[in-house]
Amino acid sequence: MPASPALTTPGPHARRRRVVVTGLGVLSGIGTGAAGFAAALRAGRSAARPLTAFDTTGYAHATGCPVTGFEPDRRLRRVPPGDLGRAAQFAAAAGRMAAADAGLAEADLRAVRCQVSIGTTDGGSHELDGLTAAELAGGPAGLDPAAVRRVPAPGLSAAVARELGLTDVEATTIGTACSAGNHAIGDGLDAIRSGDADIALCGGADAVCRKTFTAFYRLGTVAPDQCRPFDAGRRGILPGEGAGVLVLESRDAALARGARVYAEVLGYGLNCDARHPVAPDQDGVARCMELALHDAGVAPGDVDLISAHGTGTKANDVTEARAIRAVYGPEPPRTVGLKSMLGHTMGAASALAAAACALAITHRFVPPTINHRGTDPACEIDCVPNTAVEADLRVVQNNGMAFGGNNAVVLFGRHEAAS
Amino acid sequence: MLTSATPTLTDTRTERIIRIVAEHLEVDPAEIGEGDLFVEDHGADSMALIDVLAALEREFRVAIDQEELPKMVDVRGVRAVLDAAPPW
Amino acid sequence: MMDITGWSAVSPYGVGAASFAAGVRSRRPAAAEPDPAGVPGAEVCRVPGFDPRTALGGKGTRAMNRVTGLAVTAVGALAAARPEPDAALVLGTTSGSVQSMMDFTRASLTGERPFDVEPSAVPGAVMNCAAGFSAIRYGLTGPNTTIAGGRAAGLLGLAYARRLLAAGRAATVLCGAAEECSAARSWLEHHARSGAPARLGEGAGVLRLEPPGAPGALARVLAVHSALDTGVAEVRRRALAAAGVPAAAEVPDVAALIGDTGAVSAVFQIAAALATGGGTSGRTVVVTAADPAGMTAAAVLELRPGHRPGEHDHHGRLVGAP
Repeated sequence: MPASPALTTPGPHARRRRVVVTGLGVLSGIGTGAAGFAAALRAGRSAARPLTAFDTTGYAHATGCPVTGFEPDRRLRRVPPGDLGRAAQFAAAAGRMAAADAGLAEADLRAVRCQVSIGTTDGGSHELDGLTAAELAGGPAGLDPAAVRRVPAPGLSAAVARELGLTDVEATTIGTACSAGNHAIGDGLDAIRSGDADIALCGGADAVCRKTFTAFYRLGTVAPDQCRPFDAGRRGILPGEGAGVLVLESRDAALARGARVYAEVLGYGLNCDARHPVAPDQDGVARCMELALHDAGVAPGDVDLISAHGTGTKANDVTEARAIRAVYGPEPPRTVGLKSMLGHTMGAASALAAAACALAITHRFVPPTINHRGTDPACEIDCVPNTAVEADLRVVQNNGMAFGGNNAVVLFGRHEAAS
Repeated sequence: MLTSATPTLTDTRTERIIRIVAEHLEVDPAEIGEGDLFVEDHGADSMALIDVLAALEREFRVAIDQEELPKMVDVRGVRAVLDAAPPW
Repeated sequence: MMDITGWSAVSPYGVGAASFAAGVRSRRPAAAEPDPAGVPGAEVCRVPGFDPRTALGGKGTRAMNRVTGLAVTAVGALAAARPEPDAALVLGTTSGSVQSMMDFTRASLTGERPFDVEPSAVPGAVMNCAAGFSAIRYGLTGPNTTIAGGRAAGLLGLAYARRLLAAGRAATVLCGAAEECSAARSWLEHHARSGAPARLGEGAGVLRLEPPGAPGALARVLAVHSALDTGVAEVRRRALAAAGVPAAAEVPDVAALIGDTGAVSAVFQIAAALATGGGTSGRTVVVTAADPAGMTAAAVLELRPGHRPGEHDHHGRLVGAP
């Protein structure tokens, strides 16, 4: 087997720079930092617990996957936490963590052109919920200007860049809902490939909020207790929160500075179902996977593992499993639902899953789909139930799907220094 | 706009159901027969049906499980689901 | 590099590129009214008579919010003129519809039960609604990305679109932005600017972008540059350097005519440059943007000779020499 599929079957742009992941910043309900996150994934930990981010009176159930014990004062060095909403705090903290994990000092980052792309579903919606309550209580004229300034979504990518003291940076917040993390990683990949930037900090961040909890709840898609992707008894998502940021740089630059490489970013695909505002479309999802495979120059048979979007809703999981089979045939790669552990962290979801893919490749294991009792016959995939397994992973695919039919799929590959 | 769903004292229950269905399926109430299929005859999608369910809950102050959606294929089906739905 | 081969606008001058072009060429301020939200010292310039249902018909618009209606209308002017199912859509915003989001949360807070919200209001309370609905309406199955860049969104979107084109992810990108006037936006922006007087505008603008050399190009985007916490003058200087041109004319500020249109402001600046045209020998212009979040951006455009006022209909199509 070739060490790197991208080398043996060059994609449509053989001259482009190869791009690798050299740093991971993770804030999640199951673990913080690359090492803590890897250990939690391997152990199959669950972030599920009662939500306290808002008053949950009146809902029949309000279990979610919050980040607990987050102390922005200890995580952020440059940006005053009070200037930021919770999601922006998460993003900035994860960005700082990712840079440190990559062995990059602020001066290293400031010496080059950087790309910061941060995906989000809700931006400052947690803060906007608070302002809505304040408006109900006291009218719109009395809103707190400092709270108002924490709302706009552009603040997420600005927070990441500012926390690292970056100014020569394109800081973009991508608001493409629940696949936004993969959109951002794809953008970072293109920025490095094209030479627009030398280092990309890309990923996603979101904070649990009443608005989005209520939206999923009203649609009947919030599970009462646990998220069980691909399970016959699945009841829906558990709203979660967190941030994942990846440091991407060219392979040559990473090797030149002796950086530890988690994985290579082989390629990605983007498309839109253009069918339904909330229901995923099998053909559209399948097409997105094909686009990613083509961009990466990878054949379906080379893929060892799929990290599914796997929300644990009735509609998503069956549609996604069928799309996977449409692309991969009757024996698709093992397909895990990380949301069983992390909940649905919205704009952070595919970024956290991307970090998990990179860690799975590095540490040679498949994180499990926990809370699993019995696979839905309509799903027909091996979701690696409940217990992690050791595996030599060469190529891993990370699926992201969103409201609006916005699909984004990223492919990661093992990086062999000698290749 | 929500104004067309405002109940009046003289409406029968079926009229109230039809008014809600018509609003969320974006069709004229006069076009909805009791046995018309929401999806096949009036182009409803899954979102519109959940909309109908939520509006019925508020209109009749009952709780309707989403598991009941497959029964709510026409006005008669809605009536049967409402008959069995527990009040708030 | 990439070329702009068409544009559309739904603006305080009305629906369509023609009304926008006529307005900016004559430098006639669009009609403003005291902010109906009651914000002290504020005026708004709304798209006159615009209602999503009237503009787009009754089907599929019951729960469509204003910003989505504006975006769908502007995207449609280009998508309907030249259908391209694989085209990418890159749409800028600030935070989506803060009105829809606050309405949704308010319903949760005030309803008899906290989940007595309208299911059909869910998509409108998410930032990517305008892009997603535009794609659904016109069958756009290419990449579909929402750029939350505030006043820099138009130019950050250009940079993003340029990478999509260069990587071959789309042969055409419809790249624009949308922003609505609403009570929620009025009050939030009022507080964000510490109560200073303001005139807010709204609308949507979309550019059709293709790789360089496209037939019928109206302008070539020579360079786009952005930075954080960096002065506009410096970002402009870097963009000009990247474009390899010593100087370029500044596009006259459109906000003075149609109000602060937020995420659309940079797109409207570009549209104004296109509407004013390249004259007989072409000319190079620079468009700049700055968002309160700290992003500044500049784009350098080379307007092609021969394109002059009056050459586009309201779909942004060329209709021949005047």
